[in-house]
Formats: sequence, C-alpha cells, structure tokens
Amino acid sequence: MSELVDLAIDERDRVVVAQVSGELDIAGASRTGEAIAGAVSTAARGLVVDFSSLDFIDSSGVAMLFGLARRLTSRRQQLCVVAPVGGPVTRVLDIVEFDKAAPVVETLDQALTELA
Amino acid sequence: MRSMLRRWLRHVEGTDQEIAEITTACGEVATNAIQHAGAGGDTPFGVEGRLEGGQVTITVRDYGAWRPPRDGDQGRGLSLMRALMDFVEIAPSPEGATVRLRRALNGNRSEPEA
Repeated sequence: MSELVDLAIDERDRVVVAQVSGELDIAGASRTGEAIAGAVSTAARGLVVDFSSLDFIDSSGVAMLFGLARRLTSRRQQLCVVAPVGGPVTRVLDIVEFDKAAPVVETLDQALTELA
Repeated sequence: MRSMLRRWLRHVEGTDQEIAEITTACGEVATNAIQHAGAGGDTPFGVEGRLEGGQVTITVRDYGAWRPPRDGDQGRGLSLMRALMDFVEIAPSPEGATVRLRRALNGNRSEPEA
C-alpha cells in the first residue's frame, strides 16, 4: 500500500487546524498522527482535525483519532473533528461512536466556534 | 486493492455509499492480514469478488496467522466490518485465513446474520 494521505497544518488564534485529505489507512495513519500531535504545542488551546476532503478512513485512521483525543484530554486541550454528513468518513466515525471522545461537526467554522 | 475493488463495484452498479462501505470493510481485512504477517507492505493476499442474485460476496485470503482480535484497534476493525456488511465469516487455518464478506446491493440491505 502506498501512502495516499496529505496533511496541511494551519493555526488560528491558538487553535491548530490539521487538514487531512486523500485516504487515511494503515500506510499513513501513525505518521500523520505523530505529525499532528507534534504541531500542537502546550500553548495551543485546541486542535481541529478537518476531514472535509478525506475520501477514506479505516480503523488505523480511527485509532489515530482516538490517540489524539487521549493526548489532548490529558493536556487539557480541546479537540473537534470536521466531517461532512453523509460522507464515507462520517459513517465510520458513527459506527465507532467517536463523538463520545470528542465533538464531530460539519464545517470548519462550526469547529472553531466549538473551541472558542 | 481499493481502486480495483471500487472499479468492480461500479461495474456491478453499486451505489456510491455501497462502494465506500464495502471498500472500507475489505480494507479492514487487508489491514489485518498485513498486521498479522508482520512488517512490510508486500504481504501477499488474494481478493475475489462475486455478484449473485443482487448480493456481492468478497473473499479475502491471506497467508498470515489469524489471531483473535484484542481490544482497541483490531476489535474496532472487526466491528467496522460487521457493521458495514450483512455477513462476515472468518475461517482461520495454519496457512492463513479466509474471510468472506457479503452484502446486498442497491439498498436491499438485509439484517445482519452474524
């Protein structure tokens, strides 16, 4: 399997926005998770993981997300995930009940409001 | 593997949602095969798809030792497979495991049998 995932990191008012696009599977999940975790300094208020342009996620990607949720909670930082309703990513996040670990919203604006 | 499977599922007229969900379930089987056979992305495994009476059956054979899922990620992969498909059957053997996944196409989803 080749790596099919792209990551872009941005910061807005001490909230790190990690935009993950392409396909997130076993080939790229742990590296992507480490890169995102490394971008969230202790000074950051929180993290938005934006899956708006993500076409595929599997249990490795889900594990990455739960790992980030645990890390942020232990550091008293907030996490919010953006995933459009009706998409393949949302279906997977629903099945694993990710919303019990952190809020899942539809747009980046909603996520930034959530962490405001 | 996913692009090949998507092409075939489009060919047998699966809806976008069916294609995404079946591809995700099959991806979990492949991930499992790769994890169990150890490091490296060149683990051999075979995938076979069949369409019969509006039902898609996909058989994945791997050549690693199937281990029962533990907590966490592997257990999650298995719950994903079961939630996305109508039927999941795992037949482990010393030479490798055969996993059979079945799902009705075109919205005719039956209640999960297992």
